[in-house]
Amino acid sequence: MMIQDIGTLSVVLLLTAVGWRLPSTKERQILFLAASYLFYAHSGIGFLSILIISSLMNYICGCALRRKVTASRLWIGIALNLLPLAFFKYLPGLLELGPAGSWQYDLGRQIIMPIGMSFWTFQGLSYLFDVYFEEDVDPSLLEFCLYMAFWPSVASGPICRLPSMLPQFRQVSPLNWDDLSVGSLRFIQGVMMKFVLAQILGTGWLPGEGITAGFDQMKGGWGGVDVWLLGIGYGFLLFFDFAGYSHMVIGIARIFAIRLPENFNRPFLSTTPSIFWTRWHMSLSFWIRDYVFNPIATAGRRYSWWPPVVLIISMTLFGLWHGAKWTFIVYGLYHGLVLVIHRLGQQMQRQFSVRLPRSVGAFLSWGATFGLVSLGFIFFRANDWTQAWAMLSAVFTPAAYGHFAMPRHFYTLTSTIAVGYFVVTAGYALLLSWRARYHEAMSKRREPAAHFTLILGAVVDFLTERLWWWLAPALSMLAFLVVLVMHTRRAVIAVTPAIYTLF
Amino acid sequence: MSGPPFAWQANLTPMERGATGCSMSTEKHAMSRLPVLRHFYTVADPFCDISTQSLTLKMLLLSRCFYRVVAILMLNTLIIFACFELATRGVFKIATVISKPTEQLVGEGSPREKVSYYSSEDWAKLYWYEFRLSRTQRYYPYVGWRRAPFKGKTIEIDQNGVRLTPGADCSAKAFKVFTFGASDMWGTGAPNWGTIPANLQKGLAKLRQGPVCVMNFAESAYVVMQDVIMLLMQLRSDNVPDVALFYNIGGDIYAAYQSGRAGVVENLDQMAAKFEGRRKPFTFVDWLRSTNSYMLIDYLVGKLTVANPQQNEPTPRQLLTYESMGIDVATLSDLIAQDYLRNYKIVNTLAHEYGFKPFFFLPPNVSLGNKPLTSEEQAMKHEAESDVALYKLATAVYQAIERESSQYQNLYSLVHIFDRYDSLMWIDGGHVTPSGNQVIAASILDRIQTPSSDKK
Repeated sequence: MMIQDIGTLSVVLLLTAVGWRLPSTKERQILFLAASYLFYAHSGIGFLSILIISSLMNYICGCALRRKVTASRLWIGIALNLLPLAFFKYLPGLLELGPAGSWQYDLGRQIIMPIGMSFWTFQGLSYLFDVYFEEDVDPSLLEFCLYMAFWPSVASGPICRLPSMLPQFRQVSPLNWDDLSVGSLRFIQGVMMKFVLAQILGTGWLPGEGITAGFDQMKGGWGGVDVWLLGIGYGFLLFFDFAGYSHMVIGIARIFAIRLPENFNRPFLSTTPSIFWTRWHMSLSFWIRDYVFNPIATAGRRYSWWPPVVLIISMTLFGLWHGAKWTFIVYGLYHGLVLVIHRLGQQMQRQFSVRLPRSVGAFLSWGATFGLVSLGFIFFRANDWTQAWAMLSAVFTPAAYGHFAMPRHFYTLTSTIAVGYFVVTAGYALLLSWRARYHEAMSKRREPAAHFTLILGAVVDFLTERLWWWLAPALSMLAFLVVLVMHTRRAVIAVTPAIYTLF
Repeated sequence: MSGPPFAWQANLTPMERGATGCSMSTEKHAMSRLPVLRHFYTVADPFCDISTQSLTLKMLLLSRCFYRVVAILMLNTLIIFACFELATRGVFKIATVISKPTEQLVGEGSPREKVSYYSSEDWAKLYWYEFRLSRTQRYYPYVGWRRAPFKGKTIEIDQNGVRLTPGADCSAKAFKVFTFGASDMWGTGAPNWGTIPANLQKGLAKLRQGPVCVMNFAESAYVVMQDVIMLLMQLRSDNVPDVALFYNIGGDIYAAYQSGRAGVVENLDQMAAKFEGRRKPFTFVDWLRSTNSYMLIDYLVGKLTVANPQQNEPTPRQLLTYESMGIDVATLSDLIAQDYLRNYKIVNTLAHEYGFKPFFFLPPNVSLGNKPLTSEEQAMKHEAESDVALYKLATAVYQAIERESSQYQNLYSLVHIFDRYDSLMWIDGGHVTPSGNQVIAASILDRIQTPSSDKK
């Protein structure tokens, strides 16, 4: 991060903090909007102009729709949103298909998409849909512009909805210790996920030994285990990167008492593909569900074949949202098929009444879901279709499982982080259960046997109740040591931009 | 049975149950009219009781509360740091036990270890590992330091700190050649069988009848005066050579570059400070840097950061050198050259007295001469010349000595020795590959193989 970035961010934070304490709603919204536009203008004044034009256009479309709700007006609004998105996001990919050096290719290279356009365009569309479906949303122009540009979420989401944001923009929130504490914790958690775990997974323990090298530097010759670990590793990399980023922005907004929608909810613990899609990039998957799948599926619900088809179409759109690449389309299509097969499997299970012990069934279901999701990430990350195909071939070739093409550290690191994630998640759940048992024992107000778990529960409770009394010194100490080390090394953090800023 | 579930809770007063030792008061927020203080009570310390009307008492209680908050935070910081330090110490202990030392050491050193020459040499990894292990220096009378004894597969050093020359037969009637110099003559970058003395041994053994004994008295960071003292110590113990080779000037140049004075040892200031018991004050930051916690964070940060391109190494101007002391390069180089030539004269006088033949060689340098450099060597040259003060001084010293060399019968410059070689010879600004040592040894051999160099 450059000095000017820190300067801009400081001013943005200051404006937000000042605005947050203002008693007048309008003044507060003006300061929030000023902070948001300043934040966005840092990526380019031109981009800010596009965002403002889009906000004005959507607001006018919304007003027109409210005056008379017609499908044609909605379609005009949709088209006006999708045309700029198509121009900035999909046209360059198509133009670059031409020969290098041709005018089409050069033009494609020159078109740069405004940061976060996919996210705020979808926010604008959701507003139009909400008006069309006669939701009770009536923002002022100022409020709508703030909704479109709200600085914590403008760059890479989460994709917000006006009905949940509008009341928060309108109410004065007092300084709340819970918001401050939870927001700070989530921010710190995000920093650790994004700048430590994702960074290490991406670059590897030694240069050229990470996930990025496994996809970008190897031209072929992957073994079966290599591909599995690359898929699993990339899944975790994407999760730590995007969920870490989401934690950071949700945390910052929460400090200022604004609750943004959640984006991830322990997706790798999902036991079915359907559950996975209610936990992974939730703000987008719910958007697709609410504004694409549900309306279209409902329209043709009398045909039994229609919902599965709509599901596949919706998931393909989900993949396409990430960019104009065949691999993204195949990624969406793949997940659409997996969801349809899962539904069919559920129906068959009911018919044949297959019985397994509950825990065994849940474990097998989790394993299958985790495996399928991890394979799907190969499509998502592969540089082209040929690479994706070559990698999948290795997965389905038994002989390839005896061949290991990646450096030794790659296997150790990727499997350690993947297993570590599950161990930490399970450990955290265990601590919470001990604490709950302790609370239960306390609430019964009787002398419990000095059971080991109760003592641990008491310790966990003690530390949780006084979280900042030990976390603040620990973080301060760590931060001081990190700054000292960086000063001594004359080093800068090798920040890899959040992956989703590319979409 | 009713009552508190744990005895330790039953014994606590309500005040003690709070984290800060204060009790909660519902009216405390209303009592404070200052928003900042109100926030302080609610956010920083929700347990402080300041429910009093008196402003003086309120301030007093606030001070007490503030003191408690700070004290608890500081105590917690110390406890957490102590725990972290213990944990990291454990981590390092475990890491030491489970990791192989070769993996720890190889590849973490200077760029010369990664020079392409070594990638095809199967001994290279082991050599650089042993090189690190063998770097321990011990005090040695009159000259200051020599390496500690070491026995490896590529480096072997005896009890006197002398590096082994394979094949040397130092029996009574052997033809003795003593080589003196700094790290380049010692053989940095070369295994025992690839040093200049080892190549001389092989060459002389082929050319001469009878036993040949080449002894490598060179040592890293020596100046010529230390070489002369090493010779004196051999003569005093009646160990007289047939030929004495002096292959050094880099040490004298670097020592003068550091201290601004000619005729001193390298790292003079540090050595003087040690001897005089002068110490840089040990600051809190120095102490922190010596902790295991710092080392662990340093290791992890090293994995997650890159060097700041705008603030790499300190520029030569920031270093304390002869130039920053305001000493003129021409004056200093003349003084170094004069010292060098006086040493030549002393050795020559000793040679007449003891009956051996002395030779002085000016070692080659990547920045001097006209060798067609490989791309790797060009990078080394660029790196060497980036320290302009050192480069200017080295050039001036070589020119000054070369001007006088015609008056000195056994003084030779090897600056242009690699001019005919296209292949990679250098591993850094001052050290060469074993192939380079072979070329240098052949050139030295040509010069010492005259009838007059036979045993007196």
